[in-house]
Amino acid sequence: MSDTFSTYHPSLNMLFFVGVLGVTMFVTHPIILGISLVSAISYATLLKGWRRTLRNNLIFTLPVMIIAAAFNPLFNHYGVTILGYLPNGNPFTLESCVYGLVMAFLLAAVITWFSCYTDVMTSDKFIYLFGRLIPALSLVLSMALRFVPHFARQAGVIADGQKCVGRSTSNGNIFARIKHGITIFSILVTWALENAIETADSMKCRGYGEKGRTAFAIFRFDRRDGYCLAGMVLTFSIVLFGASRGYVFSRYNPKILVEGWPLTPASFCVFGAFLIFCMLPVILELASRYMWKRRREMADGSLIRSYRLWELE
Amino acid sequence: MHKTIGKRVLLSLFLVLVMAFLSACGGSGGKEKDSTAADTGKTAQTSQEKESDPEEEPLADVNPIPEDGIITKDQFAAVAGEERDISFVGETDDGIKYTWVYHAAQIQNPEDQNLKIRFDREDLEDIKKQANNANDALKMTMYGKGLICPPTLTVEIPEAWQSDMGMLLKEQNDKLAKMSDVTILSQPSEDKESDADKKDSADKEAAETTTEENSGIDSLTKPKKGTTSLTMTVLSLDGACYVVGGITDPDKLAAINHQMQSVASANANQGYDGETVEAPEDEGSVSQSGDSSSSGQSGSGNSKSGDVANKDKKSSSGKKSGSSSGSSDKSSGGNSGSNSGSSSGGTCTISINCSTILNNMDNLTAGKEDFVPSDGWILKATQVSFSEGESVHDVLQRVCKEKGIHMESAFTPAYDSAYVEGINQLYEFDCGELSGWMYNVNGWFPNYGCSKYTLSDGDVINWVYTCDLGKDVGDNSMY
Repeated sequence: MSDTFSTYHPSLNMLFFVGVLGVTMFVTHPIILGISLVSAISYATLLKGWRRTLRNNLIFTLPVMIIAAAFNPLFNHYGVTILGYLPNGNPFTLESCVYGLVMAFLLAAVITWFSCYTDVMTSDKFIYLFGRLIPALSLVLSMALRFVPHFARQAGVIADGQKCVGRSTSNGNIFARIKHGITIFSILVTWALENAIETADSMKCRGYGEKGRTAFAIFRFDRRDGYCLAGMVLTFSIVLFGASRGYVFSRYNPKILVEGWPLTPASFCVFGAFLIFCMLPVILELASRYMWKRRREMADGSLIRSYRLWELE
Repeated sequence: MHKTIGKRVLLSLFLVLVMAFLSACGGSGGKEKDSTAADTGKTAQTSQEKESDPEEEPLADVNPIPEDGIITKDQFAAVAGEERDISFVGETDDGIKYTWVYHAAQIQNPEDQNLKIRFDREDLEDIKKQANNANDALKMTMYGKGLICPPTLTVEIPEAWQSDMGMLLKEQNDKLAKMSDVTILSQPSEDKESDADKKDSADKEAAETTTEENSGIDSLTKPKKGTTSLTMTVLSLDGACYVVGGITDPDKLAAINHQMQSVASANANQGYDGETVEAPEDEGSVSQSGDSSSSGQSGSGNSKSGDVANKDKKSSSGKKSGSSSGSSDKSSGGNSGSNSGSSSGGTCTISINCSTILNNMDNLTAGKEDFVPSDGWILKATQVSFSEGESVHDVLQRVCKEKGIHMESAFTPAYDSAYVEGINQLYEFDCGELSGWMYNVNGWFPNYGCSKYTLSDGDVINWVYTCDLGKDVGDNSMY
């Protein structure tokens, strides 16, 4: 399940997600967003398989995108290109439509990146990074960040258990189904409350946050982590420098203003650096897969040859 | 497995809603965080409880102004909307009597009003000079905040002014700006014959000798015994205002001119070229005063001409202080006050001005510079017709649509009125956190929202952009 990038040092994982999310959210440039979204989807595909990624995107991301894109021009009316007037007398402008679309892609990219984040940054990594620094907050954060997947998993467990005693949400008429659903929800809430207390007690018993407490962690900062960090820092500083110099500046409010397109050498460098940065986990994973394949082929080849040789003899 | 998906769908739906909400709010950059900033009702219209303190009596048609000058919100609330005029009468130690007349039908959002005035008649030479050598002047110091309707103020002073035309000035951004016209009715006490004699003799004297020339002019300009009543529409209760008076009657002017010329020729001073010094007409001429007073004797002269030349000067002077030009120079003042709802359709004048931004360009949100016209006028005064019952907001929306000017407004339930967020891409908070659009009608900044102001014929609407919560456009109701 775990990909190559996940086996790198947690600080690299964290830095990667902070960098990629930061740029995606604060540089609302269409090409940057495009790069970010494409990379996020490819990484998610590598992590979860294309089937799950597609399903997540269809039932979760797509509605968000549609709503964001549709709602923005209905509630924001800035922009110099007036396409028409809404019934309440406010203008319907091209700029707010475009901004809505940009926001839709931004949300999609952020959601997809977060779905990768929950797979890569497991709570042990998070606690390893921040447990010493901010013990209470890091525990709360790690619990909050895994809240939704954790609950969804537990809800599945409870539903399965209820199904065994004939209280499935697909059993009986509509009212019975609702009743069963409510029962499951009630059990889930009770479990959540109890779980919270248990977690707190358990962590207290183990002396979490106490002075002098040590924690075993298997994470090491290897040479490959160093190379990877150097690459990340290099590409990310190019992106930051370019963004601060305004090579990839964009503005949608009174007028649409998108710098860096058509491509200039400067903006090309920024886009290229950002693409490499975003694609880093994918590149690492593909490279390692390719390497393993080669090794295996080599090994297989030698095995077969030796087998043949053995057979011949 | 089925249930898991069902739960997921539920959860995702919830999150989708949250996200959509966040994106809709975030897109506008938190535009609606604080809608108290500009033209929407400046103060919430609170309950109309009629129970008042035992000491407060309901308002009669004529009321004395109390010691502290304050007529309370509850007292106004009890009469708001009624079709009647309510007068408040006050008198000062030096015999000046003043009367405020509030038209109760215009009151929509009652507030406390401090109606006390302090009058000064001394040490006004400076003001007279600034007001292009006005003949008479009176300083009024007020202590109130925003007005709940544009009341009529009548001041009776115990001397008879010779001026026949006056205006109410207010200091704004260190300049004098016109607030409204003043009607001067002076009644000299009965010693006209001696007066006339004096004038004649003064004429002769002036013709014969050069030593006593001033008495002749004085007799034509200095206040006589008697009373003067000054009637004006007050548009703000803010601090010091000045009533200045000048002479426009042609006969009288001729007489004065004659005096002046004889004086000039006798003195053999720099020739009085006959070009006239005008009555204080607007801030343009007011700021012009320095030049005209430089020509020696004529500086103290009072000869007036029409105000045509004045307008040219104003447009060429190019020193619009923005706010004052936006808020005051169109105010026809007088008695064209708005009788909300009582009139059928007609025409009104509307203008949109953002010249206050010109003084605060460094505060302006990046990217909006192109939308601030170099003279500040987004829409110069334009005549539009409206149908009965239309509000200021309706007219603004229609005019902007017709002229292709971008405009965004939102209905604010708290004030039961539309709130204008932005015009011509210039939004509230775009030029500092105290900035936004305000409107005034006939010079008065209503203390309620623009879609609650029903227009009447001849109204003059100004939409002005403020960078300082109204202070820089002449409204003191919010600080």
